[in-house]
Amino acid sequence: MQLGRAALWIAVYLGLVLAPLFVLLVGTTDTNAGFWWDFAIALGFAGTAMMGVQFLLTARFKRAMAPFGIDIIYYFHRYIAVVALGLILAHPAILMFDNPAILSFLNPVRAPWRMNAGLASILALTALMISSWWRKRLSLHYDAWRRWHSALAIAALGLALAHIGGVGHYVAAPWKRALWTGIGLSWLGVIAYVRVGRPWWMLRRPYDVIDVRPERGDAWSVVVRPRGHEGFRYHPGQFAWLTLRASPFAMREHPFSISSSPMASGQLEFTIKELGDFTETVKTVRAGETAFVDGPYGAFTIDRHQAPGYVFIAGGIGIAPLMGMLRALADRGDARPIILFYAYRRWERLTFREAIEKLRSQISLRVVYVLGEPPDRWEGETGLIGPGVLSRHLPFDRRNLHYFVCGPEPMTQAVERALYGLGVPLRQMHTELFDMA
Amino acid sequence: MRILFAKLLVGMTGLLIVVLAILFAVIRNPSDDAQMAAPDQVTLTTPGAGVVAPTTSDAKSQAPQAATVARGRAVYVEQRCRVCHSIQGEGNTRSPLDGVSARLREKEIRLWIVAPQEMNPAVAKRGYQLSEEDLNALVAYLTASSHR
Repeated sequence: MQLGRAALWIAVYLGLVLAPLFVLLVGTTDTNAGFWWDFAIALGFAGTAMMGVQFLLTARFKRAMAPFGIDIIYYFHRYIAVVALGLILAHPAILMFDNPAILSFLNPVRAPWRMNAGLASILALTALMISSWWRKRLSLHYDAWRRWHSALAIAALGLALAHIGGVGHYVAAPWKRALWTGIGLSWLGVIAYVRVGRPWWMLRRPYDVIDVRPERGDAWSVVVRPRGHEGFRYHPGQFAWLTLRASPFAMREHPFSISSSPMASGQLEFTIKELGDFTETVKTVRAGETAFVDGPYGAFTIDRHQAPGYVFIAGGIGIAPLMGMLRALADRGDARPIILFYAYRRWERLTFREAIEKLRSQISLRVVYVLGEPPDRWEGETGLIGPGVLSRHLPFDRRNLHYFVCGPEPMTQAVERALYGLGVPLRQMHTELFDMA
Repeated sequence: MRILFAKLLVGMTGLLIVVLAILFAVIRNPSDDAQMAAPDQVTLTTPGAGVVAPTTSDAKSQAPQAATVARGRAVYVEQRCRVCHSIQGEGNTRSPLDGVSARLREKEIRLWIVAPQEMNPAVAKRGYQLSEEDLNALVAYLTASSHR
C-alpha cells in the first residue's frame, strides 16, 4: 500500500529528526569517548528531535497530510512516541552502564541542574505517555487530557533542550548552539501556530449553527453555515474538527465526518452519535449558537479513486462519511452502480434509514442491511458483515470496484480480510481510522 | 490494514533512526581499537629511545620519568578521562586539565582521582580504584611540564 509515498515520507521525517544530529559532527574534535557513549548521545539528540517533530505531526498542515490521510499521521504520532520514549530512556541507561560514575546524577539534590532538567524531561514524557495510552482506563476527560498533553509535551521538550544546552559539550561551537536554538524555536513556532495562530484565524471565520436535528440511533445532525466568509471546499467523505460552545483557543475541538454533500453549497452537516463526554452535549446545542470548524481533512473519498462503481460498507455511525458520498453522487447525477452494506444492531435505530431509502430513487443504489438483532419476520441479512454476506451480494465484476469501509475497527479489519479473500486488491480498499483522540 | 500500515511506517522509521545513530557513533569513533591503542604505542617508544640514549646523569633521571608519564597517559586513555576532561584541547573541553598542577597540589590531584567527594562533596564524579603504580603514573602525566 502506497510504499513509494511511504518511503518519501520516512525520508523527510528522518531528515527532520537526524539532520540536526549529523550537523554536530561537523568540525568536532574527536573525544575518543567510545562507541557506546556517542551512540547514547545520538539517541538523546534523535529522541529530542522526535519530540519536536511530534508537534509538527499533529499541527495539521493540510498540504503535507493530503496525499496520505491525516489518520495515518496521527497514528504515526501515537506509535513513534513509543519509539522516541525508548530511545530517550536508552540514552541515560547506556551512559550509566558505560560509565557508572554518571549514576550519581540520579540524585537530584546533588546533581547539577542540567542533569535534573534531563531527568525531569524523562518524567514529563513518561507521564505524557501513560496519560495518553491509558486515558480511558484512567478515566481522564478528553478536553482535560488534551490540555495536559500539550502542557507535558511542551515541558518535556523544553527541559530536554535545557539539558542539551546545559551540558553544552556537543553544541559548544557558537554556530551549533545557534542552530539548535533555531531548531528549538521553530518547534516552538509550530506550537505557537497551533495554539495561537490557527485559533486566531478560526475566530475570524465563525460558523452559525442553523439546525440540530435528531437522527435514529441516538445521533444528531448539526448543520452549520459560515458567517461572513466562504467556508471551505471539500470532498465528500472528508472530516473536520468541530468546536461548539467554546473559543478556538480553548482546544475543545473534536473530529467528525461531514455527512453533507459538498454540492449543498453554503452549509456543512456533521452527524454525531452520543458516545462520550462531548457528544452527549450535542443535543443541547441550539440554532443560532456559534461554531468553529477546522477542515477539511482526510483522504477517505471517492473523488480520489475513479472506478466503474463503488461498494460502501458501514458499521453503525460509520455511515456518516458514506452518507456524504451518497448525497454527493445524487447531487452530481452520478449513474454508477453503488452497493451499500450497512450493519446495525436494530432496525428502528438505523441512522439515516429514511434518507437512504429516499436516495434509492435518485441513484443506482442497492442497500444490504445487516442487523445484529433483527425484528420478527426480517428476511434480510443478519449477524456481522463477513465473507458470506459479501459474496452473496457483490456483483461479478467485484474486482474492478473500489470499496470504502467505515465502522468500528474490528469490523473494518474483518471486512478487509473478507474482501481480500474474495480477490479484491488491497489498493482498492479504503478505510479511515477515526479514533484520533 | 491502516493501523498495520502506520505500525509498519513506525517500525521502519524507528529502525532507520537506530541504524543512523549507530552510524553517528561509528563516525565519531573511527576505528575504535586503533585510536585507543595508538597513544600507548607512541608514548611507549619514548622510554625505548631513552634506553639507547647516552647515559648521562641527566638522561638517567629523565628516562624513568618519561616512562612513568607515558604510562600515566596510557592510564588516562584507558580510564577514559577524556570523556569529561581535556588536555590541550583534546577531549571534553568543559573540564580542562591544562595547568592543573599550578592550581592544585599533588595530594589534591590524587584525591580528585580516588575520592573526589573529599574535595567537593557536591561533585558528580566517581572515585577511581587504581593501583598505586597507575595512580602515581597518572599524577605524573597530569603534572608533566608539557601541558602546564
